[in-house]
Amino acid sequence: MLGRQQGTILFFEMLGNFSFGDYFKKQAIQWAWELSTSVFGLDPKNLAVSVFREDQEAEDIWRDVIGVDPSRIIRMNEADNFWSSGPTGPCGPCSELYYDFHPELGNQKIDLEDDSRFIEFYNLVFMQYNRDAQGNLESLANCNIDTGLGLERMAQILQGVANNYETDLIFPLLEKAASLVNIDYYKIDEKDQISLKVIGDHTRACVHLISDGVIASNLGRGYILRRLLRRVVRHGRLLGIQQPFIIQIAEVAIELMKISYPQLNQNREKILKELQREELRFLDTLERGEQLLADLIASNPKEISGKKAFELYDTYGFPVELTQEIAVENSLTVDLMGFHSAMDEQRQRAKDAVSTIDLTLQDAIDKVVDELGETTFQGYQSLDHSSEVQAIVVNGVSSNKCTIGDQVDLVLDTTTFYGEGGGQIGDRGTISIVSSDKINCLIDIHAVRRVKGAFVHSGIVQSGILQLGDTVRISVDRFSRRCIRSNHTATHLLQSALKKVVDSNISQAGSLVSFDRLRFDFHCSRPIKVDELREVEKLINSWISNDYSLIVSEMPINEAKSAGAIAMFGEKYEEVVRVVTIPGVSMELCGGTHVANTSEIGLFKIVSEIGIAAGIRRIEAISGQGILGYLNDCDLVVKTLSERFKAQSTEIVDRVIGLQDEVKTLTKSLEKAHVEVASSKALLLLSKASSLGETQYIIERLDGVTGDAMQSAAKLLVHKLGINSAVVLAGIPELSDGKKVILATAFGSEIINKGLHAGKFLNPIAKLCGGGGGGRPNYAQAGGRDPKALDSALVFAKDQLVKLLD
Amino acid sequence: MEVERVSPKSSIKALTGEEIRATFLKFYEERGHQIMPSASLVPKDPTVLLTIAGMLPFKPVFLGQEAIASPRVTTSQKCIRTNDIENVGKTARHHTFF
Repeated sequence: MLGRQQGTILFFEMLGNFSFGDYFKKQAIQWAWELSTSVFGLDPKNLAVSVFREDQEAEDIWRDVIGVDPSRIIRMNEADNFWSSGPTGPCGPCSELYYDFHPELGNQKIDLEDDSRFIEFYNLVFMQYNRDAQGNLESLANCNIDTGLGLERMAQILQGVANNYETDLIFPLLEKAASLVNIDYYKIDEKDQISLKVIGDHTRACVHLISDGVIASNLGRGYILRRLLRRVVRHGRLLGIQQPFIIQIAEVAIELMKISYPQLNQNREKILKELQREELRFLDTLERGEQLLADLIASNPKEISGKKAFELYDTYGFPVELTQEIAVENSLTVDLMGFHSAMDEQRQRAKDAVSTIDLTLQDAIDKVVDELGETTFQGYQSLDHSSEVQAIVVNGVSSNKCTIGDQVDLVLDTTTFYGEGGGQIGDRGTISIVSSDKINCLIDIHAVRRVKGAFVHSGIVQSGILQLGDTVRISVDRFSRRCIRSNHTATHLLQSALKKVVDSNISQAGSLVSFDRLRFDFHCSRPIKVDELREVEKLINSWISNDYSLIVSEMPINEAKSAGAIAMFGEKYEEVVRVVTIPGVSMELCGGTHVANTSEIGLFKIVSEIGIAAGIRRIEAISGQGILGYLNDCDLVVKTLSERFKAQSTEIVDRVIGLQDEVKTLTKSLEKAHVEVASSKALLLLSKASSLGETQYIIERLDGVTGDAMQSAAKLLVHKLGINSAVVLAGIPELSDGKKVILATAFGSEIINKGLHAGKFLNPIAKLCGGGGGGRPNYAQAGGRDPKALDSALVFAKDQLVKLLD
Repeated sequence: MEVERVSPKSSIKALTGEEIRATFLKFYEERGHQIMPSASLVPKDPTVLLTIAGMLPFKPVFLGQEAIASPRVTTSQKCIRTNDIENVGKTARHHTFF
């Protein structure tokens, strides 16, 4: 349902319920209706639904099962209500729920595309067909449900606000931006509202992009981040924000979302640093753009070409309106047609890159696997084995042979390599051809995955040639298998220990068993305390040293469950399941590889515990020989610190605390010194006070002091001169690159009584220095970027003051 | 002319965004769905640049290429769609589902 002149939030949250071959159309519709009406409390008379015009079944369900008024069930065509992923592949009709803002307009002329009346909030996709290459629809064996409910839209409806931006999910960001220039969202014109909205939406997007590892660049995702960020800066400038400000908005975004997305809080520093770096870089670019435009105008062109205007827009972030404004001041025009066609080209490029999810890609290996069927796994018993090569795929293309240097995927008739699954990653090792003790061909296997039951071995041919039908020797790397076994059994111990120590209701949400570590995600509403983690560690290590021998058995699923085996909630299991038992400690349904006896694990150590989503915690841990690497890393940190501090390891913490206190004290006395220097410089200015009737004023430069110190100086001077005095100070601050200007104004109470306002007085003066600022009636400060204008600005200040007091 | 597009406040529950998210997930959890965390905005899928829909992380499952622990899943997925970047803020809402 894309179309028309609809506004957009780029960053949004989609709430979804999914069924993979489980419930289908009727159930999905019933739940969607129940949720919308009984839970969210939407009045049925405010709801309307759409169905695909040929989906009689959906229409019947809405009308007969749910009881929706037939005149509020609207049939739509393919473009709106038939979802496909591409020319071929899974597809199916969909049905959408709409909220009607004006049910009093009646059921006669319902046009769901009229977005002044309707808003679509919940889309149910019924994935029930596969479209083949001839365009025929065939029913899927497993029907799926895929849905999306727009969180921001539901918030808009339930909170009774006019748009997504005014919901509590986004509005605090707009308010923060508005507060930086003392404006009120509800009292400004639409153009400024749009700027606030852009800032709010894009900042949310940027914060998450950076948190997910994207760095601003000129390529792909990095370019998207850069564009979004520059738009934020540009719209900030349109509102009159001259200083770097994004991190202030980002702080609000992180605060708002940190409960649902704890990683935002964990990545806070990284996010703020990247935002700041990119913002400063862009401000610099903008200045260069201004220069470029000035040079362009100086060359006396007939007009500013569309190409140039677009370059200014795209590379230097110049809004075309700004280019136009400057052009008009210089009696020039801008080729807007040319600008827009350049813009359209760019937009088309962006669109091509992102708009569809292609479910049709089926690579060579999938086809091969469909023909071959399942691989027999013999890796529980042995690591070495002889097998026959059934399929070779080289660089994604099915082939009869492979040779040195090739990147290959191999399928064998049997294997001892564990294929990634059940949270355990695939084995590493080699596949080779050996005759009379000579290796004729060697392939390093670095990953093994399962595709529909077939084990696919990925690797690189190190020597020789391998052909279809060859008999090969397969060898799983012993050391990495030993690490995996240790980590996997340790994962089972961890689950049991968490249930015993923390909460018996804890259940697994996810797991990764790797060579060097294990990761266990579980449902738990609170962080695990440090002493609980210690207790868990202690318990696991006691189980390890108790020499429990593991028992692996196969039994019917019902028997396993009644014996108390832990199964992953909702997971589909075969009739006969594999059960891994550590007597008296743990019993889990599991297909992974394990130690024979817990003593093989040796030692277990938790490395971290964090929250990864609402109600889900993650523990990372290491076991066995894997602990050595961790110890070495820790050791290196301690040793380096010891050397730096020339201290014993036990003294380091005290030393750091001491240093932090010292820095705090020094910073304080430095600040004090700054103020004292500024005060003595200021007192020297007392002799320059001028009179205007009863009023005394000082309008002078004060260079080489900090902003805070200039503030104190201005206040001090007013204090010395009395209530009928005014002070304006401006200068190039200390520790700056010489490109910054700071200004401060202080008024005595008599001046304020005469109707003057320090904030309003200072603002136009700061503007002359290429900046802006504001403040209270008695005191204001500001910044700028044009030191050359300082002296003339002070002259202007004097003229203004004299005029106002006259 | 701008038409008023605000829902009547009195008739429905004014839930916060957080509450709406939690309510949705709990509703489906009570109906046998496993709550899974939002996937990254950077998808594993190489054919798309960013995560643009809640179903994207499950694409291999829909294609039958990957098994999933639970046949019923519910998520709150963060998404970004950049194909309409110039229109941000300009009208009341976006409209880009599927």
